[in-house]
Amino acid sequence: MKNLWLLCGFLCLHACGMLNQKSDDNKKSGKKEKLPTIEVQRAKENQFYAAGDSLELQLNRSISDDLEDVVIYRNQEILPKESYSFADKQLVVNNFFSEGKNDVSIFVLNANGEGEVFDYALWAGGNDLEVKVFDAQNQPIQSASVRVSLADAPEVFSEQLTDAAGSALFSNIPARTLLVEARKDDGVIKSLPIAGTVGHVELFAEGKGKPSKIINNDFSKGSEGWQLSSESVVNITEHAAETPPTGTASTELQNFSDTDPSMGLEDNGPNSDLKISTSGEGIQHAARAFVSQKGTTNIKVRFRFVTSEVPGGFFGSQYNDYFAVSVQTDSGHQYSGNSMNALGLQAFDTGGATQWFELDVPVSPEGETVNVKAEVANVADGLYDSALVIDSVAEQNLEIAQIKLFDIDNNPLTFLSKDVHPYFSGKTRIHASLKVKGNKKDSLKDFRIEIMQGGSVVAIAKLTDSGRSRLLKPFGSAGEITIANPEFLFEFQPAKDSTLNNTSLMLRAVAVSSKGEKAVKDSGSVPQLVRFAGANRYGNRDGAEGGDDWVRASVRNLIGKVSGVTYGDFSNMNGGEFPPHASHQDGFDLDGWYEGYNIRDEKTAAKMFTYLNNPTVGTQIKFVFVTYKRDDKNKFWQAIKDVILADGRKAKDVIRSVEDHATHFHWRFK
Amino acid sequence: MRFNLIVSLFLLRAGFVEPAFSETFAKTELKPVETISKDFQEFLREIKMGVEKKDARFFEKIIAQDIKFSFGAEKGKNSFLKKYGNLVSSSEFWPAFAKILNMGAVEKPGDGVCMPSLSCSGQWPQQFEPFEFSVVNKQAGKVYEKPDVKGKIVSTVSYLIVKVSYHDNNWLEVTLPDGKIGYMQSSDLQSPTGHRAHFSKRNKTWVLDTFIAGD
Repeated sequence: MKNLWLLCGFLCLHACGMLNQKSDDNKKSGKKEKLPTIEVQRAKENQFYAAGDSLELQLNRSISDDLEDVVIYRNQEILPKESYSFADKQLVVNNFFSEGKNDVSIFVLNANGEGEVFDYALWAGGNDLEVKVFDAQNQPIQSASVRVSLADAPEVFSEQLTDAAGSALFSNIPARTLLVEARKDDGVIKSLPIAGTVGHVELFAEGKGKPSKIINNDFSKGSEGWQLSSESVVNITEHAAETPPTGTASTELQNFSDTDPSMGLEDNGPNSDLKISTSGEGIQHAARAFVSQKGTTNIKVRFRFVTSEVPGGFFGSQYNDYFAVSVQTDSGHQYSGNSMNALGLQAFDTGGATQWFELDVPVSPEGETVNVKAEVANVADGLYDSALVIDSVAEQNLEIAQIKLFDIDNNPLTFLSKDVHPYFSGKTRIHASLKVKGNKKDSLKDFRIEIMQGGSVVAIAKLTDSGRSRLLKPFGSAGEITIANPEFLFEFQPAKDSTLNNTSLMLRAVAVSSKGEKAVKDSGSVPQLVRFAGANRYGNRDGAEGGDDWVRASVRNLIGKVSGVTYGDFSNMNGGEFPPHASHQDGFDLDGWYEGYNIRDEKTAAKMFTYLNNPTVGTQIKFVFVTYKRDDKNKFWQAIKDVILADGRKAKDVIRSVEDHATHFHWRFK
Repeated sequence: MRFNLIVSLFLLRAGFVEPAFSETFAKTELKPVETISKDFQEFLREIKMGVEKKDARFFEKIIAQDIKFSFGAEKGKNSFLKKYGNLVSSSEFWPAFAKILNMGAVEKPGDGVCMPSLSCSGQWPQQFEPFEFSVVNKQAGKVYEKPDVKGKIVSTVSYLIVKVSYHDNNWLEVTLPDGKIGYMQSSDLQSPTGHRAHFSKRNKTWVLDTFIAGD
């Protein structure tokens, strides 16, 4: 939208004669100048620039000497022409970069008198930063890779190796929140959010703290067993009631919470959270080391960030508060952190709280020392505090060790639809084989497949009656429940799907145990099919196999613009093999018929041309399969052999001659 | 450039240069497989005998009332017999059916038998587009330089998947996996969209429920 306004302004300048008339002259003379492509030399969007430095733009053609074919905006303000200079196809804007983000819009007038826009977001700063990296014994680490990235835009970064003193120097650092991460040998040594103005930061590899013998991962004993940066910044609060996330039916929600009574948990007293708050500018933390219990397969930390900067109106500013949770085990170090600005305003509710995040770290079932550290920082000033709320640090036994999804023919699931249909009592089926591991004294309470699109759950496949009896039972002495071969285990009630473009559906398996443990496993993604529900069909619908109405959304959209055609088979509900068809497997093929088709003469060809020359539909038809002989007695061949379609293709290349398409044609879409 | 192209085409026509080359693809052989029960083996012997004798009566008995023979709107035994001229000896049915009889068959318990085997579930390699590729249906199939049985044989191939494009009603232009281009007689090739049959057992009797080509 911003660019629309800027473009309007640019075109207005042009219309008012404030830009030169050279391109008009070109138009009048009929001279066709190729549109310029501007390449920005030394102006990559993923690095830091020095505040006060010049911007250099490399163009691939000359522009007018008086530079009136170009207008440059910085942060939505036009830069004066006097600040530009141009030589050897290089445009230099002096003293260009200001501290922070520089939104650059470059407008170029092409030979047709049309404005072209080139946008760049370039970050600049004037701060130096020294990062020193030490191991757990406080010895400097040489050749560690240190990456300093912008919390507002993590793709903007600078990277250096530490020297013998464990030091790496950075310059041009903006006065914003940054994430500093040191790595060596593909493992993270330490990650830490900092303010860009600190000048110096030391990263110490997290040593394994002495494990606490106090069992208090759920804060039922207050903050006992936790090390705090300051007693005064930590509170034990009652866990607030939760509302379901968007797109999830409330009856389907299975909150992972340390003492959610709906999960059948043992009553350990009040459901408590640990809240770490900032107190003035700087970082506060809470940390804990403990030995995981035997049989534990995962440590799961559940937390959320709350900041008063959001209701305070400081989102997007340099007061970019941040949080981080790290878990270190014998096998490595995992980290989850972010800043207010990088999360985006939509991540916060009106009270400045995010949704609950989870950091899930595998551990050895034999038991090992686990170090958990939670940090929160108030950046740039001491006002408007932020907090990190830890729901719990859970030791989980539940694990979806394996899951494979299959279609109704027990072939690997390659396509799926969430569209409404009349088959199988209106429900869509998913077959699966799986293995779930859990505590011998626990049992599986629920298992479902969440179907996601655009980050939201759009449908939930629940266990069938058979699936419930096969899966919802104690883990027993084996500590696992296994369905070795594909079975019809899940089904869901679809809803009308008006999707126009071809997309995929993400699949996620979710298991919940009677003790309230929850395990999630991504099951990949599959292309989406939709149902063609038109009545202009011939033949049977193969209802026992889920119908033959299934196509890509793009194909359904296109044939919705076609009239006069009756359709036969499309693809199966889950795509894949569709005997006795050889193709029709991926939603791009369909059989059709129109009045007069069976004669296959010049009139038949003429009607086919009306579809192929349709500017919307025709260009998307890759092939037409028709039975005809390529000899001069054949009227259909005579009618098509020298025809060039509206999109420039030869009709004979598109309309292929094949056996047994005498009473129907076959369209294959792109 | 244009001059060179014309010269090349002239030389090719005159037989002075090797055949043209096109894109290459994975060399894949697909031999017929036969996994059928003794029960069907006996029935298959009867079918082969029926085809050899062009025994219309035998086939009229085994054709299912609801036989599927087209991806168009027509179906059923009466329409099938009409399409194939009541199976008189000159009917197109006989050579079409004879062609698939020795190209393998796969029986799937509870489902029936499909033939040729390349049309059965999981047999045809998915990377080969069914309309663009066919398989050589014999050992030592001849690839000619020109669409002429008196012409030079440029290659001999067995059960090889080749890329095909229409030349005329008796010949197909073929591209071999190494990109070499030649010509084969249509009768030496079987397309996944060519004729295929399916038999199922109904009331303890085998019936032909599908005989179809196209897609």
